[in-house]
Amino acid sequence: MTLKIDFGFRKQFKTYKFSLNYCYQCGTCSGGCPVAKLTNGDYNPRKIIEACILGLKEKLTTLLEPNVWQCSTCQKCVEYCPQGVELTEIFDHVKNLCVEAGNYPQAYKAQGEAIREKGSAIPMSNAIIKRRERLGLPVMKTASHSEIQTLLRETGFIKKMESI
Amino acid sequence: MKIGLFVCHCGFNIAAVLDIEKIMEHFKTKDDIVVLDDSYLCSDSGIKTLQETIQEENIDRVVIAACTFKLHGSMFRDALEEIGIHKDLVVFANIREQNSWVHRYETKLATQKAIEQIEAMVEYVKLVEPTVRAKVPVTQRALVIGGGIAGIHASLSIADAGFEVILVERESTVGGHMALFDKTFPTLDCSICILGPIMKEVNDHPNITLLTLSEVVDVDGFIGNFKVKVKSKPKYVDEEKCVGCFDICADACPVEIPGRFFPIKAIDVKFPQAVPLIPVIDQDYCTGCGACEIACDREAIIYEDTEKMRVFDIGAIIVATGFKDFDPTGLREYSYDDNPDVITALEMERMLNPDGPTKGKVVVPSTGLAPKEIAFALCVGSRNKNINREYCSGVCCLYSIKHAILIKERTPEVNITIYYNDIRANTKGGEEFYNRAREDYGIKFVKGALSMVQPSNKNSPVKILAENTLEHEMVERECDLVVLATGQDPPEGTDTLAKILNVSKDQYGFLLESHLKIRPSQSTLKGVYLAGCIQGPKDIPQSITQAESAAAKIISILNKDELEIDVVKAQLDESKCDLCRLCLDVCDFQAIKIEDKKITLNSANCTGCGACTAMCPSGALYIPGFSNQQINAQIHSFMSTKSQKPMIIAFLCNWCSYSGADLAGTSKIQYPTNARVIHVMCSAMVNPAWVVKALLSGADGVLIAGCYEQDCHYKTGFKKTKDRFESIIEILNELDIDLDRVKLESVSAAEGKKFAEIIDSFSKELAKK
Amino acid sequence: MTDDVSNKMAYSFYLGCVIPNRYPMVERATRTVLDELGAELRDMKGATCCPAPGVFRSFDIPTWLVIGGRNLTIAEDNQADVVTMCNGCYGTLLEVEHALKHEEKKRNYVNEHLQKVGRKFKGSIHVKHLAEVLYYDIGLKKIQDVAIHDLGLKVAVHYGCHLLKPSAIRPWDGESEEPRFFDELVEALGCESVDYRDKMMCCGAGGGVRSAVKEVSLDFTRHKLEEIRKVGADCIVNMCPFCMLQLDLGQVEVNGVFKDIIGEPYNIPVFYYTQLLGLSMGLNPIDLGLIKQHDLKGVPPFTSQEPALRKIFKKLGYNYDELVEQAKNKK
Repeated sequence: MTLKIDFGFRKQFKTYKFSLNYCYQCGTCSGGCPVAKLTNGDYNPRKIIEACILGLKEKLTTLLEPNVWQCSTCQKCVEYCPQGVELTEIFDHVKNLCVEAGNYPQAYKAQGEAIREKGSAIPMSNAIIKRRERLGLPVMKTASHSEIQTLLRETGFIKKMESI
Repeated sequence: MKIGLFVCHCGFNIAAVLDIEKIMEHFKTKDDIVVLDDSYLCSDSGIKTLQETIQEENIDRVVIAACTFKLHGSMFRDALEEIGIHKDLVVFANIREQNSWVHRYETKLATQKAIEQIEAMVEYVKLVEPTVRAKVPVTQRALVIGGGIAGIHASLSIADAGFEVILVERESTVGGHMALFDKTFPTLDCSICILGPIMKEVNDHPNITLLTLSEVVDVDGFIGNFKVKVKSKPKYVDEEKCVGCFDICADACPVEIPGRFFPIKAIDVKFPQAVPLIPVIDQDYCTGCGACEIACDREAIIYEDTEKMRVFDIGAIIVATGFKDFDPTGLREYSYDDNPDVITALEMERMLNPDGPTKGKVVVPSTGLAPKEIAFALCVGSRNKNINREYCSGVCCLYSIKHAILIKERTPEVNITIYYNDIRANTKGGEEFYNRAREDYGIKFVKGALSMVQPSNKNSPVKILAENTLEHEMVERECDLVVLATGQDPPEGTDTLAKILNVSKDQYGFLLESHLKIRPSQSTLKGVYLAGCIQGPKDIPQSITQAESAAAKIISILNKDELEIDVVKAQLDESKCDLCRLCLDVCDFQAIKIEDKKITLNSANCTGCGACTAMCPSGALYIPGFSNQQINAQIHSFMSTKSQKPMIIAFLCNWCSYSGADLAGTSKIQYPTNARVIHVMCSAMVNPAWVVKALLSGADGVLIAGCYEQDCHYKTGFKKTKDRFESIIEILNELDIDLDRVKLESVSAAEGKKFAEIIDSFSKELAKK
Repeated sequence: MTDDVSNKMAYSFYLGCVIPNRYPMVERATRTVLDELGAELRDMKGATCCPAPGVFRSFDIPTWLVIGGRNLTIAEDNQADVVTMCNGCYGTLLEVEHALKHEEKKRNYVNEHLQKVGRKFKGSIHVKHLAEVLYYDIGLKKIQDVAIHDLGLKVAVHYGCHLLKPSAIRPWDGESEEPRFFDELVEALGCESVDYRDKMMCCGAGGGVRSAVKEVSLDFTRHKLEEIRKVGADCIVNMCPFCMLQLDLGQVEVNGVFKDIIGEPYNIPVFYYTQLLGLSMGLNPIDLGLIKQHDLKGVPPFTSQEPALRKIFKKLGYNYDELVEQAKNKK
């Protein structure tokens, strides 16, 4: 298989988080990463950074090698990176591009819809409504529907959700 | 008056950015100016052309538009003095460090800035009044601070050249770190075998006075004429009587000073090869039990010993105070402080040393048994932006390989893995050494930082986590010993010493060289030189090389009977003085007195900071070169064109901020073209009237930048600037001028980036107004 | 700035999604305890999901900033700093606050959008985690004073990642590997905070792991539960509903997925800190929402808290079964 270097992608990343340029691939992030340990290196934060530096967009966002969604965002890598590379924020950016490529956990789409409709990521069940009442807790109100709709439309989020 | 303007291309350094032709065109038409450009003015042929042109054209004042005057200024001045041009009449427009290098993509604006920089210098040089240059005698005695390998070599070189040396060492013995090592890389010579004889030579040399347990506490004066105060701590042992049979007193002493790898008694020598071989009592631990006094048949113990203070006249100084081993306690990933089997490289050095605590046997500290599996973690405390140590230690690759080889030679069955980022074996024989480690000794190298050291739950006490990045393999391995290859930090007390000596530090706290390439062993102050790790991490050969270069520089100073020095000292125009006495309070150096209803100046005391001149309302006090008239001429020149908006006038102090701005240049950090620099000796000499004048004549902003308060070359200069800044604010308030148009900042000589950021952000703020 | 306009001990109470909709008893306990401690809680009218870093930050960073910024403006209307009970919400809201306060470009982008719904982020409030409010604002000393009953449990503290990291913008003096504040809060209740291996390890729920590779996510949880069981802890205490869900519901899942390798199923009660604090303060377990009514099905906790509660009640002189009866009648 040949890997294509996407120069635009590479440039975008290096300007988005300049700290990327400081990576010297020491592997402090991967060596200490709990997910890397549990997946025996299938997931590897160092390789994601390496692919960003090299501009291997397809590898990251289509082939999901490694799969950035496996990051638990525990931030351990950010704490220990000797060069101050902002790994988790860079991964967020990779995830944004994965979404554009149609690669994301399906559960998120439903959550996104729920927030768009009700403002909350988790639907309210009857049992919980009853429970809240017995606990003497205030009734949960949904947020202003039109306000959320306006904002999500204006930022292009709704369009993005529809396109994927 | 005929002015010669010489513009240097500096190859492409200047000419690729600035439009030299346009600059030449601009000045060609002016009366009384002769212009000439050259691709390298500083070259032999450049200087020759310069000299010839000056003579042919009968030029009497010179403006050189080239690099910073700090680089080749004295060279140009010396060359022109040969043909009879007074040094003061040669001035410089800094169109490289403060122009072409920092405005690489702004040819048009940068060229305009260069024209304005040159114009200001032309106006300035017209007003220069040559001063009488002073000659001072040279005290033919050197001071070397620090008795490690660098200090020893420097002392011997100077002493062998026939000059007296005072060698001041903080510890009770010379030898420094090197004396603690067993072998040295890449040749594996025995460390103490190379060092021991010269340690002794230093002690015995007729020209060297060795002061151990001593520190420099005060330095006054200037090149050729320093006065140095040295404090020697009591040793409680009579050096005349003691014969160095240190085990008798040490054996008798019941108090052991704790320390994992350096256990000694409360009366002891630091190590058996100590020079001088005199045990000393550590007052922090001694209980005064008297055991050593009874044991010593030479009656050498003197409990009532006291601190001694001595003052020396010194011609030149070498600082060779070495380094401090990086303390990995703060880096939690290595569990150094809560795991006895995680040790630093220096502790490994002690274990390997036949005179060390384990008599040269490598053991697992928690069990005392021989290790089976050892891991080395490289780059601990170096190449790490997070803890402000971007630099490579320069030694941890090679000394770790050395450790691994020495261990393998003694116990071939042990498994050794070195976890590295890059192997930098960049010394003669280094790469071969690395190859031998793999070929002949079977030492494993894994490319991948050691990420974590954890206490393990099985029999083996330590577990390490890493990634073998070449094999894409997650490593989880049990070891019985982990060695942290720590880097080098500036030694403790460097801040204080820098203040005492009046020299600058770099961004990590090492002492700053005057120029990395062409003056690598000179500090930022004339007459003070640097040798060894105090200037930055080094290995032994590099330290010695620098020590010998510093010694050579010092010998060339001590060889002279007298030196010509720049005298920047306050002058008084009595006719203008109206005895307001404001100057009296501001001087911290007792340089101004009032006698017979007249101000008198004590030139010997005057440091030339100019704080008094800024206080003088009548302009009676002035520093030659920085008079109201001379500064105002520059302001006026800059404002007569005012080619850009916002326009910033920046007053930069000579010692820190001007050098900081130069560093932005050498580091090629880009910033906007709209600042015009006026060089002052100290920020404290910036007269509020200059600031007001700049603002009223059209400057949008004024920046005053000086040293950090604690680092001020004149001790109290920046503090005075801060106080005066408040009165500047008051004046602006009265004049109804927006206070945000003036800014006071500290920029050290190591802060090129900060200087660029200040100009950038200040420009943005001003642009909004 | 907040100090000028608002009472120091008033907070905008940010509920988030998981607590009100999954762990309302934690909300009950927190409200009761904070009320007792004299902190005024102002509800955040119209607040939405923080928004969740998973679906928003990883889908579209700009939208994440805008929706987060909107929530912060509600707290600004309240003129009171935000307190949140959730590490995830804390991470989002604090990091949005930090970005908006320090990055002009982002602030302008967010305000451009908020303007369309008549809002503006001014930067007048600060986001705090409940742990921060308890430890710093109310103060460990006060907690020690009001926690009058020793609960006598061996507790495995779980901090959770986003309470601590990135440490550069957290209030714990840069400490992320060996923090003590939560342990001290637990010790104030007369409990022993037991040390266990990989204490700082993630619960397994974070980021996309739970959605993307559930087995890996549960493997995290299994690892933590195993280490906690090894040291014989009576219960786990945490201060994040997302971690709580993973340790509580995840425990049931682990018992299923890994039944062949774990031996005995895990049965370690999981508490939110304010639940135990309330008991130590002498508040009624029913008022704290600690007694689960058996007619309610499918509501947390999924792993019974009963063993630990019985131990505590014995010490405090309550009768567990009587309380269950009382709670039944309190419909």
